[in-house]
Amino acid sequence: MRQFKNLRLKKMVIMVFMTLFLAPFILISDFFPFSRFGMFAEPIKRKIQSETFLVRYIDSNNNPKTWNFKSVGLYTSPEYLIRNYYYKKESVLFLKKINSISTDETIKEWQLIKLSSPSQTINDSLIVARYQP
Amino acid sequence: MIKKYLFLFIWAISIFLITVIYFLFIKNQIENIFLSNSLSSLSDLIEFIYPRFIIERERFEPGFFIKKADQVVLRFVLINVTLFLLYYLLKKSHKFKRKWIIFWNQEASTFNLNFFINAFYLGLFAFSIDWYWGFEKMVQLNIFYHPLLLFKFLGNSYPSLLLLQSLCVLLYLFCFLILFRYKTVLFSISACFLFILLQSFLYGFEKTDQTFAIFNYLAMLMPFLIFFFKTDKGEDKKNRKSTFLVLIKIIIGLCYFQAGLEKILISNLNWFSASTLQHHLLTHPTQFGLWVSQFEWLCILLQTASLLFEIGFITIVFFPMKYVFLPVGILFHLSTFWLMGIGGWFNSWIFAYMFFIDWEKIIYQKFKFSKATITIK
Repeated sequence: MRQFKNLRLKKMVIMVFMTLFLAPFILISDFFPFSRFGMFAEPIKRKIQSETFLVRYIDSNNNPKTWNFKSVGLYTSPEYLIRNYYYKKESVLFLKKINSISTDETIKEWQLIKLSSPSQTINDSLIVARYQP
Repeated sequence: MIKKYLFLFIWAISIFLITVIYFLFIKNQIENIFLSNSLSSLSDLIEFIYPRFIIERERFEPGFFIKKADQVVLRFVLINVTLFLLYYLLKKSHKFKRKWIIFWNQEASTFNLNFFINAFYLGLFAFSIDWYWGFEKMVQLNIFYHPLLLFKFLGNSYPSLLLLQSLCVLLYLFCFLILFRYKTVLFSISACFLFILLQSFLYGFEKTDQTFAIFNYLAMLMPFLIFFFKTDKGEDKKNRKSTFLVLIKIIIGLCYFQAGLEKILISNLNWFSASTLQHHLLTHPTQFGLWVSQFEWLCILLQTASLLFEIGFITIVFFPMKYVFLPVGILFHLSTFWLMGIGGWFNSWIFAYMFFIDWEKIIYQKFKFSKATITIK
């Protein structure tokens, strides 16, 4: 009797688990903790897929420097976070938030830079938002 | 006879009808949603399943999303046809059914099962130990926190450092209680819950990471492995039926298989273009990766090899291929670290390979240990 119950429980657990495991694959979306393994699957055919963002600040000596997100503990890629604000047209709000967590009070200006590809040379024409604290 | 096949008939008709309904009615709706910004129940559902849709539709044309919708239907049909064939074979062929039952009821030695339990929870502790200090910095990012889909019920505010670090300590404590075999089922469930919950706070910044994806699955399955380890006796006292060990191996294999299948389904042959890897090497720059990106032939070779590895890894569950795929797998993960800086030496995916190894054989035979000195409870 116990073995029969165990067998039914095993079957049920396996079926439920496999359904949840396959859901991200079928629906092409992560349902954390169930993951879709689509990393690097997308072919790079459109120019927009190569876009990348970076946050820059002007220090007290007027030198531009790139802000490192790891300095505030963000170890996953910040691309998605920045893109979220940029396409919602909230880039300045994003820079304000960055400023609020920065401990450096000598920063003169925050800049959001949009590159069309990672190898593009950074220049002032690529600045899409500025914020002066 | 009719009754026997009625279920299969209804199943086949349902798959066919769903496909027809999609192509006749739903496909057009998706384009309408995209173009008209309509807030129909379908668009609400799309935004629930794809939180990034609202951003991505600013970047891509409608055709991109329609292709994705086609993919969903294709994958649904693909999975159903596979299950349909499996069910049909189980009903039709006694030989296949016998092999199926033997496969799921493979036995594993109590030594190996104990080893897996101990090693896994030590691993869980080791892989999450730096979270305790990591959260000290991360709480600063609370203004950017956006809870993941299944964790929205916990609210939109980021927990305090004290709470996060207390949860970390509880997780470590549960791992050690399992090592000492104290209420193992209860604490393995609790450890799984905390491990996943803490990650939801690590990844609540618009990007989930797959560093611990395999450990999440293992953490979810280990309580069942432990529970049935206690209740399922094998033919003799040294062995246990290990259905969940089989499932763990299948899941590890399927993760790789899915990753490979994604590339084929999404990109078809385009994925083999050197520009694919070159782009990723440039967006995740390392010195070695930038050097490799100069050679198109090398990029194509590496891409092809990695795809063959991902598709082929699942065979390890059915055939004696571990001496091929485990070393190649280690090389695969280390090369993603060398080329793109993703992962690292201490990699949870490589760690999960331990489930494919007969540790009893290695420890007793290779190192000539006496069984009496290393028997684990």
